[in-house]
Amino acid sequence: MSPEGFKTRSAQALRDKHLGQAINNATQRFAEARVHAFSDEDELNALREQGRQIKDAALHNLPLLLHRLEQQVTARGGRVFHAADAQAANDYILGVARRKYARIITKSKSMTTEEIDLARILEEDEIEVVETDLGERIIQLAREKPAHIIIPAIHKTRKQVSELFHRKLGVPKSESIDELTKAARATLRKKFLQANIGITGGNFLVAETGTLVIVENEGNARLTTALPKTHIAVVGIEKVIEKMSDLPTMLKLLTRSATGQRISSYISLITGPRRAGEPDGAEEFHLVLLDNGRRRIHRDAKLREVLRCIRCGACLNVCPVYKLIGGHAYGGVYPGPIGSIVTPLLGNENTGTELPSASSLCGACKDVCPVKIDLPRLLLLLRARLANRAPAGLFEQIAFKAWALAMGSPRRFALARKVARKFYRLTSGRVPYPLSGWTESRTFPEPAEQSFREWWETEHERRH
Amino acid sequence: MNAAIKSSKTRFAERLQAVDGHVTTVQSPTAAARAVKTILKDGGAERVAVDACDTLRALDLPKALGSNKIEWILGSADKNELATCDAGITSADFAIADTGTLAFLSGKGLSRSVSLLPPLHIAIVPINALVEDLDTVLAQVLDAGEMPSCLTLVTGPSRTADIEQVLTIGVHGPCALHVILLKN
Ligand code: SF4
Repeated sequence: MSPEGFKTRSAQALRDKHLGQAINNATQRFAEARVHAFSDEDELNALREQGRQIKDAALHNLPLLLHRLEQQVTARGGRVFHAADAQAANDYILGVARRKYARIITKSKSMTTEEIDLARILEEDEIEVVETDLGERIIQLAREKPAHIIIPAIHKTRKQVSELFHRKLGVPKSESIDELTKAARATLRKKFLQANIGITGGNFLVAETGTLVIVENEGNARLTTALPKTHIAVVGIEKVIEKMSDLPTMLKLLTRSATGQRISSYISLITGPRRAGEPDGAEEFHLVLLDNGRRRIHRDAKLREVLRCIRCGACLNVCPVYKLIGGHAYGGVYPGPIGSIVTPLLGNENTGTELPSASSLCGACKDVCPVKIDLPRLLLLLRARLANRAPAGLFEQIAFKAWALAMGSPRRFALARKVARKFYRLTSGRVPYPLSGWTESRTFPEPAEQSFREWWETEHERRH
Repeated sequence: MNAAIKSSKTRFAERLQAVDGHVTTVQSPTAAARAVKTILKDGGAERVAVDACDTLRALDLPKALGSNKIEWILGSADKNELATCDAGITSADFAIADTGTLAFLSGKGLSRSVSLLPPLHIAIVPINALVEDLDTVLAQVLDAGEMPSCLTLVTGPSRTADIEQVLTIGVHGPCALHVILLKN
């Protein structure tokens, strides 16, 4: 992903008036729902502080908690696989799928599986992977990527969905969202009944009991875990919390921040495979714990707090940049302020390096983050680190040398000022390449008619 | 004690109704059966799955309501069979006042799908299953032993807002949830 890529994509997004409108409406609605859900400011502050502490304590003890989690899961007959990177995770899951002769796999919404591009790997093996969350299904049929962490099809209109369903599922066109939803229900129900493997993500992992927690509204994650004989969960290692008693606080923060709900319609707490005498639920339970750069972040004391993130999407909904360009312009799996931080850090370290600059540092994200991540600080830190890593271009080197020269003596400074004023008049603020890269999106400040130094000199003479 | 139960019952009902669930309170098993009959009739449900739990065994709905208008599917966990049912009837292990939530613990002979596959879900819940919050549920479950293989929290019917953020009920799970609180 090159810097030009981001610029081109965001410019494209900015030209799409419909997209801007759709994203703006949706984010506005979710941001308002969140404010409404947290109308008690004291409660909000107390919850956020608790959330921060729970996640910090868990990150502090991460190796120990992961060990305990694994013990608990395996003691109940589940299997745990530690995946160092995307490829290791995909290889393992493909291995399970082949062993089970999987033809159809149902999948509930999971950003982690997007991160490792799991569906593509399985499809290459001629396995039909069916996204079952309505938004994800729309995106899958449209062959796109999610545009928002919580609302994948945030940018699609009912008309577009109607045409898509008509073309791909052979159902009659309809402008009724109710009917479109029913069509999705009917077609996906068949897949649920046929699938022999279900793949989910996970919102939390409770080390104390070895429990996987899945938060959802549609019931597709319940179907994905209850019906197939095999359940594979792919979860980032940072999702672990220590105790079951930590969970209620985290759930309150998550559902209220994400959708403004006091609680979501369904929450499943899954502890190992089904037990003796139980008629449904998976017989085989695999937990894939994904690293993919997370341990690298964890080792870095200055970055570690980003692992507190519970992927609620609240920072996207208030971000002026996200609201203008939408999710796809970011080019990665995670958009918005959190995406600008984790994209360059997860997986391949050379992707998304331009993203930390795609922020106005207004601080709105920090204000809403349920686990108090200081997103602006992290964005600045990454900017500095990435700037130090990349050698400056020739033009930048010359420019800074000239700057140093001009600043070196009062006489040269005065001269430079005069030149700048003339230059501004000549160009009326529209400077030629390569400086034009700067002025295209910013107004060049007009040099004052009289500088402070000049004013001081005349004023000084007048008084004495 | 009585006052506390009453207020948590009210809060449970208010919270659940706020997310499109229905709540009725009945005084006796006969009244519970009558309530079930009305809900099934209103929903046009003919094939009805009943969970194999103790509460429902004791109620013996097929006996109370007869079999001439309703085809009863008792204690089934066959997904293909359950997918053809119009309604699923279960009990619940806890009813959480704070959020209007039902909690189900998996266990021997109990299917996770009776409350999931049919479009109409009816839960008959003894009123002493009411608790204040999720913290209490989790603490009680752990005190009693260990986590079940699946603990499901259900708050209202299945919902989505994935198309144009318009709230739509009944995407994958039940389109309607009725809770009948049964006084002992
Ligand atoms: S950074 Fe904070 S606000 Fe953004 S998704 Fe993560 S938890 Fe939510």
